[in-house]
Amino acid sequence: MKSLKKMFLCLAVVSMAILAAGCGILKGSGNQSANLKPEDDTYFTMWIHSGPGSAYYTEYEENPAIKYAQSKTWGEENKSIYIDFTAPPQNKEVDNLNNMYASGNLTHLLDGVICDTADVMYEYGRIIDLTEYVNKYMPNYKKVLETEEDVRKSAVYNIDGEEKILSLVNVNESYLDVNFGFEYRRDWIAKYGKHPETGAAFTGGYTDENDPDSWQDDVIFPSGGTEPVYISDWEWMFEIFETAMDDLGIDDGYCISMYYPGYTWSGGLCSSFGGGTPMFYADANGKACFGGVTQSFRTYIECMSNWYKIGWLDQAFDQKTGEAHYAIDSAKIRQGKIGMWYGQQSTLGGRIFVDETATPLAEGIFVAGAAMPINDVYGPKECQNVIPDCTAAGLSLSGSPVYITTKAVEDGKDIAAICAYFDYFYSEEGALVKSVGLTKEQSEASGSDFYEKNGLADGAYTLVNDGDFKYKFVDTLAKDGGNLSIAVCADKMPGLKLVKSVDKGRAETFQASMEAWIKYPNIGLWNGTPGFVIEKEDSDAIGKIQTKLLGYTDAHTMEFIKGQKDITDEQEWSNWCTMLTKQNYEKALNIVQPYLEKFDYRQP
Amino acid sequence: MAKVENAYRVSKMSWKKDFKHNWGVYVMFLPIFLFMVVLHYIPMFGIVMAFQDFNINLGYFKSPFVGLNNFVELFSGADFPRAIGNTIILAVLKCTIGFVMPIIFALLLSLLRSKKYKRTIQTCSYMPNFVAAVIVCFLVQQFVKQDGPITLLLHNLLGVDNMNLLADPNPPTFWIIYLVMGIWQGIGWGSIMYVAAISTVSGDLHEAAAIDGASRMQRIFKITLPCIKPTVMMMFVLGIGTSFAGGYDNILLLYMPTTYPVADTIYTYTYRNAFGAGVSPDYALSAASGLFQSIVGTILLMGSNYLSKKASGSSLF
Amino acid sequence: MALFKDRKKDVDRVSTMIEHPGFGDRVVDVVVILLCLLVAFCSVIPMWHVLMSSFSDGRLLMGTEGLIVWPVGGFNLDGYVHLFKNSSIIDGYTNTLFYTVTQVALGFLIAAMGGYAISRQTRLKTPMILFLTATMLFGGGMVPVYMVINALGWVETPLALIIPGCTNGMFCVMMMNAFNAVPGEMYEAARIDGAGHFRTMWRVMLPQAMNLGSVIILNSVVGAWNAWLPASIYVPQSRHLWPLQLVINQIINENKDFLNTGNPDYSKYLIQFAATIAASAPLIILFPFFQDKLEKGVLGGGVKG
Repeated sequence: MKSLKKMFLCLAVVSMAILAAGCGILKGSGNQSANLKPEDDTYFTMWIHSGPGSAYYTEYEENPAIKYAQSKTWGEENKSIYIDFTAPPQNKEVDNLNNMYASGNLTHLLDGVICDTADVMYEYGRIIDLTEYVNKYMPNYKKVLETEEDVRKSAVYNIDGEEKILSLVNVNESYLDVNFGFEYRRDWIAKYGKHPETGAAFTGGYTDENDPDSWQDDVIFPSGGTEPVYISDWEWMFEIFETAMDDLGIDDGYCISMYYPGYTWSGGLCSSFGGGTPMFYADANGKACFGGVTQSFRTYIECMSNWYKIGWLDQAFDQKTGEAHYAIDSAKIRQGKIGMWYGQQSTLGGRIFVDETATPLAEGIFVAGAAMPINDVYGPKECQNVIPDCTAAGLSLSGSPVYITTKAVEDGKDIAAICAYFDYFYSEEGALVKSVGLTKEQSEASGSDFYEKNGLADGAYTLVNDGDFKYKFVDTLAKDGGNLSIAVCADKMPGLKLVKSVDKGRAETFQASMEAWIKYPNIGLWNGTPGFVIEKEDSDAIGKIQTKLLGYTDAHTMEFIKGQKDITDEQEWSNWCTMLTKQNYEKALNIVQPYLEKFDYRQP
Repeated sequence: MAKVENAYRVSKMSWKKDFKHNWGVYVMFLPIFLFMVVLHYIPMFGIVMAFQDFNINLGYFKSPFVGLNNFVELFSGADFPRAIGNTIILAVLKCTIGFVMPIIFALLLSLLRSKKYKRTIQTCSYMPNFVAAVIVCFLVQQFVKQDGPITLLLHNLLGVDNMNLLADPNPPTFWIIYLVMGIWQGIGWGSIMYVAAISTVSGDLHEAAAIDGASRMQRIFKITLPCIKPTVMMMFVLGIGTSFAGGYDNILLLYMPTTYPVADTIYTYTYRNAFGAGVSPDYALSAASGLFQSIVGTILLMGSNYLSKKASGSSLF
Repeated sequence: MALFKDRKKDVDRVSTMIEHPGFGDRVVDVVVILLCLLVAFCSVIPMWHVLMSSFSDGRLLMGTEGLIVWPVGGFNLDGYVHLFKNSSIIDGYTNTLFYTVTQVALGFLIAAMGGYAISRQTRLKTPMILFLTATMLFGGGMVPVYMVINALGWVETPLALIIPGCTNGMFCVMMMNAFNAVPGEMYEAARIDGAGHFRTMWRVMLPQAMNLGSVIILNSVVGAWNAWLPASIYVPQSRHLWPLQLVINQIINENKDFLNTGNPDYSKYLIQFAATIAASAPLIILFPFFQDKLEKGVLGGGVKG
């Protein structure tokens, strides 16, 4: 035992000594360009938020599109650029960034996805003013700034009376997809529903058994169209779901699920009744509102409590707290027991069905995406037939910014060259490299075998001429279930992201579902609006009041929905409003209102 | 010729003599001293964050000093009193029932006759220690949800409502679930210490007592327990000192707005207010809460150490 | 021959005492065994759930609620394939092994010396104990520690993973208790014989203190094995230095959003379960042997009477 201990100790000391000495050698053993060294003025370090995953490559330098871009030369002096990427471990991005600030070792380039806004970064001397460089070396970006209002608001700030361009902002060609939305079992409607006027049965089915998106039917909703539009359509659907569940013998299913507080923090169905989310938002008159005390919120709860009373709403919704709002009861959903839920792409179409033994209740399932409903049933006139305006669908063409830090100037780097490099990605050709992928020739020029190894020997896309579509994913990319489409392009570079020009090989019904999810874009919630910047002090004050308000509404909204308290009772409603007034929401509204006016947000 | 020390003589010793005598001891203390100074005491400047309006961009040295504002903000929250109440209750449960269970389990193990069984059962009992808290919480949710096995068992035996027991806002339910979960996770690992201590009890003592006619139960109470008393008291004092402050992060996975009245502890309350939705992270508030818990923990440690010395003669220091 | 048989039985027995169990004793035996089995059974449940889940079919597993007692949808190893197809996990194992060994060795040495120092009667004894206890209660937070480690130049080197976490005040205090439990006569005997403090501790007292010492070592081993937070803070860029748990964490988190597509790879759901097994299996398997070896120090070196 003693000799064992001695051995351990010696081992420990010796190994540590070796490592301490050797780590200097090991440390830099990453991917250094054969030509450039860290001291060179075109060798940059860049902090990126995360890569596409280590399943493809651990170091972002191995990205084939990046390799292609770096095989070219840039700037007036035709220099080669090399970027050394550093990505923090997952979930530790904020800590990593804070540590970087604390130690003063900023990288030269910074992916600003989780950073403060550009004006704050500039104020604390972390980033440089890019106005001059953009004007001289970045014609493509300059053009974008002039044509796209959203982008200009995100990138240009008024510092001390001067307009300065502080960041290179990602531009989306058109609005991005959202990742979740309402979904419902349309096959139940087709099988158990009846035409609202003639009473005839519907027909519906798959044209190709092996294609989960090849569904066709002749379903008509009470509002007259093929898609559900109003709350009355939804209630009609719930009745059909009940019939279906009776027929299939499902006694532990329900028609629609609900997030445990009784609403989703980004609004959920609240906005179907006009505004109304229990967060702060701007109404159609440009006035800051707190939804929790509005008539629309009251009407929303009236609707929800009615659905609960009838039994359409999940009777135990408030107990499902461990689940994300887009993944409530995913086990039951995947067994086919639920009629309508808030979900993701992987449950659309016929994808839930596995086989008769594993998922018997999901036989013949077809799930379609639904847009938010418009209220036409409950509450006063002003809460009916209003277009939802506080939704989860974003409404901005600008994406995350990329900053050039003061460290790059300190280390004497060639800013002009890196600006020319970044400007490439705002051009049409560069946009393809940034957001879609490489052609066969480009892949060969990059010197990387990533494309061959992943079944993309002929490039990532083909040219097409099909309506809006100019480019189409090759089959391998269209069918991929992982992050291959991100791994093959230079996603982390600032530039133009092609969206509507790219045909991702989606089936018609799938595409229709995803479009339903962005049918009513968000206009009322101002978080994330380009250029809408609130001073830190004010933003903190608003945030604290919001937390208190949510603390109350999270815990007590369900009492109304479950019928423990009656929302239509004037006294109860008055008590509710009093409790919320105590949390001082009016102060927050008074803080925000000047900002709404300053940035001309929804002002009449 | 080395002189042998004893406590009486030491306090009378002058510094010079003490140093001459004990320089070896002080040298041995040096590594841990350096370790602590560099890695624990120097970073303690971070505590100043509790008294600042901390801004990550200004750092520790330039953020404005606001005195006790963070503490005022912490204590004046409407939910703070009940958070303290819940923390105290859970800590008391942890230090009484939760403390005793590993000891009982260790005693049970010592009563086993076959070493093979003992080893196998011990290894099995460690396993929850290796399973991540997330998974344990998930399993707890599965067991006590509506129609979960435990719920049904309790429903049939004791007439408890068939509902998600984790959503029950009435007092003892959440505390009991949390206590049992803690015991479930910790009984095996916590018993290692006591099993080791029990095995040092001299076999001769047991034999002598058996010859004198003591039964096994009597031997446990009269011999084993007194012999492991120093270990038990040490763990008890340490347990009380640390119980107030730490270990409640898995409540974050189990609680919900309806159960805040019973499940909200200082840690979760701080977490919600400092890192909740819609606020930029308030590190200063979190630091103030941590400092407050540290101070309370210190008081508890000192107090329990003193009491344990008085009550049983042995203590931590 | 009869003698042989008896000796073998003795080795398996927990105590070497000769007993003649009466009826009451037998009842107690049965109750004890039942209770112990109950504890063991309840303790195995979570690990069993994880083990069975890790072998299940990902897609069907997502549709199953409750405790998993048998692999759902047939036995498959897809989760493990996802984990191990990235070779960095092998690096993770070797790194963790190295860090564990060095951390435990260094940490135990320091804690033992420190614990010895505060167990001796010196004028500075109480201040030293308070000095150590304060570190258990107060801390400055993660960023200040990072700043210190950065100033020392240990960031992105293995030193940051070995030294800061190797020991803590609690272990020192426990070692102090262990040394306190050693009979005073042994200490005095060694000192009279002219042994210096270090030799006294090393040769004479440590073997006595190994019951608590083994507990500390076991706790250190598990702590070092499971550690991922320090690595995520101090060596985020140096993936070749990452310990096992951080690699696994990274793989799990990268694959968390696998449902965000029309063609999800459901076997990614299994990764979290396979990861628990892959990370804890070595420890669970090696533990019984380890513990035996350490505790042998107790019975072997114990003073009888």
